[in-house]
Amino acid sequence: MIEYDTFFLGEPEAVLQDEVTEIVIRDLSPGRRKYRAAYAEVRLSSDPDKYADRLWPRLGRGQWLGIPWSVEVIREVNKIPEAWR
Amino acid sequence: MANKYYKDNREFIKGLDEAGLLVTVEQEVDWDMEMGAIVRRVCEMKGPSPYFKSIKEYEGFEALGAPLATYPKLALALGLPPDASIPEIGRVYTERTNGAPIQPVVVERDAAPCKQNIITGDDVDLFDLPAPMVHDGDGGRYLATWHMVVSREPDSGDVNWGMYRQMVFDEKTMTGPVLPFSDMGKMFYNKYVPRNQPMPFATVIGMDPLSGIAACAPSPIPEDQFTGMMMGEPVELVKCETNDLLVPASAEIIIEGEVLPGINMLEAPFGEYTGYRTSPREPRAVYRVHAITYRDRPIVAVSNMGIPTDEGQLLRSFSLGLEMEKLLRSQGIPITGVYMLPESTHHLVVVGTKPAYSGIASQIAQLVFGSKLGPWFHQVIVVDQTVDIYNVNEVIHAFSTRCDPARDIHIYRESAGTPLNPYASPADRKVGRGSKVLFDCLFPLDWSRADTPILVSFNTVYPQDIQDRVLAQWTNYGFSE
Ligand SMILES: Cc1cc2nc3c(=O)[nH]c(=O)nc-3n(C[C@H](O)[C@H](O)[C@H](O)COP(=O)(O)O)c2cc1C
Repeated sequence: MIEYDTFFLGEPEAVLQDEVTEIVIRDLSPGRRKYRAAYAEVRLSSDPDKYADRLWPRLGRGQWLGIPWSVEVIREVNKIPEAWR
Repeated sequence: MANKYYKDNREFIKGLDEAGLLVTVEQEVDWDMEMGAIVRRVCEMKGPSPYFKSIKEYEGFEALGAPLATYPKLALALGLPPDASIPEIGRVYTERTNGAPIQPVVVERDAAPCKQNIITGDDVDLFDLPAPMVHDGDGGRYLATWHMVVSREPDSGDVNWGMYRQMVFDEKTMTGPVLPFSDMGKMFYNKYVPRNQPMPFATVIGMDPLSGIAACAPSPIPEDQFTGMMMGEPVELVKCETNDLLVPASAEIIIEGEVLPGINMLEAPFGEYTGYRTSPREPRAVYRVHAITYRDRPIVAVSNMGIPTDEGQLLRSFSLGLEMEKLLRSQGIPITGVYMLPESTHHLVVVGTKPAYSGIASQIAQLVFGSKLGPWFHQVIVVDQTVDIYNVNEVIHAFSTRCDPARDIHIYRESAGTPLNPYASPADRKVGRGSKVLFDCLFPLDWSRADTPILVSFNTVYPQDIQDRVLAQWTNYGFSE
């Protein structure tokens, strides 16, 4: 299981669950790459056991909610236009 | 003739050590919040700079925390004794930066320590640098907290060095706010973005202290020349590997790349200089990295924004106040001095004046709010020459006794502000709008002399001979000095 966190920019109740949605996740795996961010297409759920990986929500000013969600990362999305990579 | 100054970060570290302003931390510290927490505590205690010799997972890297967050460290950077008074530090800064600009010199690559290690292309990986997680809850690891970003105006060729925070997003990408009224913001949004042209940048980490002071000063003189003026001789620069920008040759780390037009990616939140995490996580400028060069055993600089006092609060207050003083004097306004309080997170400025005519306080406020510096602060207190502007007790006394709430508080609505202002409404923050206020603490000139209250203090209500006698006899009365 990989642990990620994410920042909900609005209220957690407004977050779209179980549908493919694009968010920014941060990888919390220990080591030099900890906190690497990525835009990703995901499915997420407030049910901590629904998907394989763990997602820890934060609010927009960094507040840690301490309630685990779960996430399925479908694919990373590279936002940088091809010419400038 | 050259002034006394420190040519690079390492000489400055030695200077801090010799002055008793450094603590060398030999034991390993974690880049993930531990280093940040130490620096934060140091800032709150106005303590010595921690020099971290060993960073977890980053063998071969070192870090310097809170390099310039106190007046003694600032005095030292300017070649003065650490106990120099604030007005003395200000006087030296103003004197040195009022002369003719000094052009930089370009040195060969072989003579530039920052070229000891060069990484380009696919090998570039920002996670190879020990970017700290400065505060718990920040949007990412901030590599650039005490640094400078070099860029160039594409038409005039004017160079800008400025501090614009940068968060590590992924291996080759950093994101950060470039406020539209800053020098780099004007260049990027007015020139590069309309042409859909990436803007070359170079982030300099671990530069000599005077270059850092220049980069966060709001002076109209290009910062490379401004640094030379403070040094009293040219600053030495070297050309980047992947663009034509010039960077200080002896800096610890250089990150080269391009700021991309037409695309924004998420940055923040971040513990900011106001002492809060205010500006939201939102799409901000994207820095794409093409090369990293660094000295052997590079020393990363770590500033920690939060409640006073951090580098931004101290140095921005210092330089904003002194640039304001230059502006007011250049307009012939009879001021006695300007002091911006670092504790106000450079939001409050005290201006001393000889009240020569009615309305002078409004004139002062309108000038400084209307200047380039305006967006960064919103409170002006104008006092007369009897008040020591550096003495908070005297300023509070004048404010509490001379400022009539109905007559002397002037509010300027819908002015330019920043998204970082904690007191602004979420809507105002979004567009960088804010109100300003003048506290006029001058007794009106149209009051008769007989009606004007007299300040009752040792210095003002006794004849000079009595003051002299009391001072001369002070210890004889039984008091200590
Ligand atoms: C530590 C520090 C971090 C800063 N971060 C930013 C930033 O992220 N974005 C920004 O627009 N200004 C930032 N500022 C303010 C700019 O540095 C400042 O406007 C600039 O260096 C000098 O002003 P000018 O470019 O308008 O002449 C920061 C200042 C300091 C001291």
